[in-house]
Amino acid sequence: MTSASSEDPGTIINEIIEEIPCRQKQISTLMALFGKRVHFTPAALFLYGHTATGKSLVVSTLMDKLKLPFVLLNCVECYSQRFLYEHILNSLYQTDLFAFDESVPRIKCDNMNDFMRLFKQVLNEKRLDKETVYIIMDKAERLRDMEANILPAFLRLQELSSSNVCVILLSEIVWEKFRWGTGFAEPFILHFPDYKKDELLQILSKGCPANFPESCYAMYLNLVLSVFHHVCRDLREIQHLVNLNFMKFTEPIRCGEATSDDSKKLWKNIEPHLKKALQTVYLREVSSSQWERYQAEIARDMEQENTSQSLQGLSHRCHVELPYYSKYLLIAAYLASYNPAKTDKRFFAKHSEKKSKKTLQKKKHERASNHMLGPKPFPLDRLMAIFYSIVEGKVAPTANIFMQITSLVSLHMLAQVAGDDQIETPKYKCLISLDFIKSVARTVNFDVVKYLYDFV
Amino acid sequence: MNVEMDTAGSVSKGCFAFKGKKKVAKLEDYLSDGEFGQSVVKRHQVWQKMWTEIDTQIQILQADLNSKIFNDLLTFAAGSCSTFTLDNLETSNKSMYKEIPTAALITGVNTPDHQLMFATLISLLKERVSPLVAILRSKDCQNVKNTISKTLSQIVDNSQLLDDEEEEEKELTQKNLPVTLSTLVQWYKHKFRSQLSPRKRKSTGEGDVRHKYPPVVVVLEDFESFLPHVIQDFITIASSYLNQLPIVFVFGIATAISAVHRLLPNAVSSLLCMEKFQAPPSSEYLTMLINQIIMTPKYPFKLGARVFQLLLDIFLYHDFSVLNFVKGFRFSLMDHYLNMSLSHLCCSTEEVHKKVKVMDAEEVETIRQLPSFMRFVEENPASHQSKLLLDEKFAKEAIVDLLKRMHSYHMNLFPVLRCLHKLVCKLPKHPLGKQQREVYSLVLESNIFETEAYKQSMELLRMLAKDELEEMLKQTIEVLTEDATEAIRYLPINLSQFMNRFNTLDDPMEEEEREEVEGSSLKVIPKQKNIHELRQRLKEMEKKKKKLSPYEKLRSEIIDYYDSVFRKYLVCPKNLPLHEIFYYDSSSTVKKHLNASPRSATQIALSNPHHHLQSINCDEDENMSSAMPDVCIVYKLHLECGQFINLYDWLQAFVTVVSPDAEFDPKNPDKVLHARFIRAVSELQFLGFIKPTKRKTDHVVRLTWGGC
Repeated sequence: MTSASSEDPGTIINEIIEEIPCRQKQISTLMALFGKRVHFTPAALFLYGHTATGKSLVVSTLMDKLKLPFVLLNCVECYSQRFLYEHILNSLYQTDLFAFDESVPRIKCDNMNDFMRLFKQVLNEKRLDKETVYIIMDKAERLRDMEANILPAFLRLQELSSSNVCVILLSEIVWEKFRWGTGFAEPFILHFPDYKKDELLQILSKGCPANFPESCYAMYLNLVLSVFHHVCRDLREIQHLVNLNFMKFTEPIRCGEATSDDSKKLWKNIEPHLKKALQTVYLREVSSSQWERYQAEIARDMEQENTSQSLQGLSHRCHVELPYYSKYLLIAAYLASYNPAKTDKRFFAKHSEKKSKKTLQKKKHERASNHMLGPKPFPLDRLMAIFYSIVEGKVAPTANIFMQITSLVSLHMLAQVAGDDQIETPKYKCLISLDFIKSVARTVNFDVVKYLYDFV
Repeated sequence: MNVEMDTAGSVSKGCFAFKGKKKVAKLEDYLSDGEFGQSVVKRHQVWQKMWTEIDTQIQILQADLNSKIFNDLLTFAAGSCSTFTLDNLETSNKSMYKEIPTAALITGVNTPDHQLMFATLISLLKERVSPLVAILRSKDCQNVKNTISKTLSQIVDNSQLLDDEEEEEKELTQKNLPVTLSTLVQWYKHKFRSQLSPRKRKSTGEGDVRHKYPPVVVVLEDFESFLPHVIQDFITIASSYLNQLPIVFVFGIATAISAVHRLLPNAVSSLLCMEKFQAPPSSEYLTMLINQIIMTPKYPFKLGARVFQLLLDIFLYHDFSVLNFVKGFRFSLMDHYLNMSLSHLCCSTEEVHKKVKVMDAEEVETIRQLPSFMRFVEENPASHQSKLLLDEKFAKEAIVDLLKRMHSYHMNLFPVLRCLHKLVCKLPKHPLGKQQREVYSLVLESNIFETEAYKQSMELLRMLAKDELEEMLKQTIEVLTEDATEAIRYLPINLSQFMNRFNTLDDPMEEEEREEVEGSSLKVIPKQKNIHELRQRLKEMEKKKKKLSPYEKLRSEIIDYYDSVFRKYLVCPKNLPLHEIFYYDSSSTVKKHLNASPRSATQIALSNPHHHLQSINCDEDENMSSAMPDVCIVYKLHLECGQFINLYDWLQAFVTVVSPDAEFDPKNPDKVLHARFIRAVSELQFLGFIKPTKRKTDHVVRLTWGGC
């Protein structure tokens, strides 16, 4: 730790700025706030910005490079305050749980008071009281869900423990949403804005593979961004897409069909693939490790894999094979969920009076589409009644049929909304989409649209 | 104080549960009673032997089926973390891809089979990839703490087998480890860092770096049922430790990959790098199972048409679960050996002789009474008939002969059946079905060659084009040579002769010859008496002319040959003597045990109590009498009501039925009768037929309808 101070902080900062492009302003602000190691930093800093805007990266790189004493903590992990306290204390104390010598006991702490006391003690013991100790809390919005005293106490930690400590909160939401209750000390707020398009380009171009012409890579990035920038500005997602399609892009170059300067040809080659990838953006069903494997594989093989993956596309993603009666149960559930109960008689009774088309037309204008309103709950009786009127052949009401309803619930195709008691009639809701039920109905030759009130 | 002590003393009466000695049910306990005690033991032995054989076969099948997908998955799990290292944290920190390698295993909707599948997967993972495997089920993971503690306890303490949760808790608190993943990280670091130094020296020469850092594999068995916030948090936490702990996830997804996106928002799913693995559908497994276990002469026990169809229906219509199918098969096997007194004869061919030899007179008599044997006797000449029925030795010889005939029937049946399936599986509209099991089911039911569907498919076969027929011929020859027995070895040889004739078909010499023959036949047109006859004659000639194309002739010859083969070998087993010994066809028993319908059982019990209680002398017709149990009377009375039932009227009716002589006093009803009524009503409520309502005072609501 002492060796770090001998280095010139200025050169380190330049290094960091070079390493993390487009975040110069934030880095220099933070550096100014940190000051010298002995100086007091503001009691709390609040850094916010969207995902993948470099918050954690900037902070952790600063800590690493400047060799500052710090504790990093992910608030998602803190399911109890006890864990929060103990994690901070033990990482400061550097206890090893599985050390051979049991001489260093693990610190235990389960309330704020003890934490203050132990915190000071640890700082003294570890001789950290002469410099600023940083406690970095990632995903700080989770702190709001914990006990009411935690967030105010951490904001005033410097004051309460009267030691040189700085709490850095990282979050994706704005500070205003944190304010409730009393006792808040306003932190210093620092915003990490989204990267602009040319900034994204600058960052992505750092990932240019060795021995590949940089100008060509920049052109490739330009192409990818021109397709995806409308739908996705998340750096991580774009990086994923860039990696995924790079092999396809370079294929003509490797095959010798085009040179790296032949931008038109390369664009023609990659364009349809990017358009296809646009459909599955954010889905992440082709992993980057798979992509990495393709790299190792022969180009031909890779192409086959790639096309088969993209051909599968959206339609195959939600194809599910179901037992015969489950299909009918599902259809019945869908009808029960989206048809008003009053209309059951019209659809399923044998001798229903035919309403004239005119009245139907009139009615249609009055009501809102049931599909717009979402699925409605229905009792089990109604489900079974519809099931028996649509299913072909005689079906005994065996235990297996009822078991299938439960397994549909466990597959999240139905949801039970009321009546956990067996004797109380349970109510269900159908959770699947129209497209899905259409494809299910097609497999059993059942025209589901004919039975839906919205489409009559 | 004293008083309290006293009461405490007196109150402390209670029941105490003593764990008795664990009783292991013995075979004798079940089977000793009854006059056939000895024979039951004999049958039990045969059953046990048979089931062990079949069971091992099923296990082998299971392993084979999943081997490919599991191999892929295992390589993925092993490969995903191969670059992981603890040595230089600096570099791994910087690595660009901080995604958790995740295998999305699409398992299919047959949830009952999954447990077995995952058990195999986990044992394979432990064996080949890493000892650090944790399996999580949604019911154990109601919050993040539980999830992490489950993971920890399985990985850290996996040397000790932990049975129940209490023990695990104790284990954790004993060591006093905090339930967090950072504990795991430290444990991991500690364990594999310390191992490193001696290993490094050893392994540098061998280049064995693969197992230096075994990945931590976390298997989520029923991914869909996990609570979204729990699984999201768990993944987020895991990903924050990714550079210190090589975690691999395996998601067991029953429906489709889109379930992942339903549960995980983009912020979380972008932490994963998923790869999809599709398990083979369970219907494929079932086909394999039927081919290897049921449609094979290896095991003499066979399912009859109705049971076979029932088990198939349960599979296709209800659950897609192979495990349940096997259960049904096992049940049939057991029931057959338990209830069919001659089933010890249902054994392998070698033992038949020995077994028949030791049969006593009584058993021979039972055989004589089998309907199929009686039919066989009647078909014999009169001199044999009396001998078969009276002479034990002669009868035994005949029985051995018949049993052996049955075995050879099975030997020939299945290759020929496969041959038929090959022929008909690609016909338009599939008159005999697409699957082998459908053809087999038809054979079991009746003589297949007498059915309409068979005739239809033969007609269709007679219209095949040349190349198609040639292809089919080739396939059937293959099928028949594959598992041909002595008896049908001549079939492929004959078929190949047809094959050869295909090649000579184009021979112009032969064609000419044929044409000549044709011409000669054409010349002879005898004088006709009237125009009608002439027309008919011409029509016939037309037909003849058509037939005479050499290919068509050969084709009809081939099809005729096939037809004769099928007629010979695909006889319905029901027509064979002694089929009762091999075929189990009591579908009602199986249905009762495997596809029960509780609702109708309750209704039958309530409306016809004599069905279950033979002692009661109620009339068969549906009249009410005071001899019936109260709940039945109340049930029958409530059937006559509409949706709402007035309790007072109900009570009145009840009293009139129970004691028809007594005068009902509305002001002061008999207390005992009143109590009986209330009890019966609450029993009915418990059974789910009625429930109380607030909409009308003194009324209850019926939950069922009809019955008036």
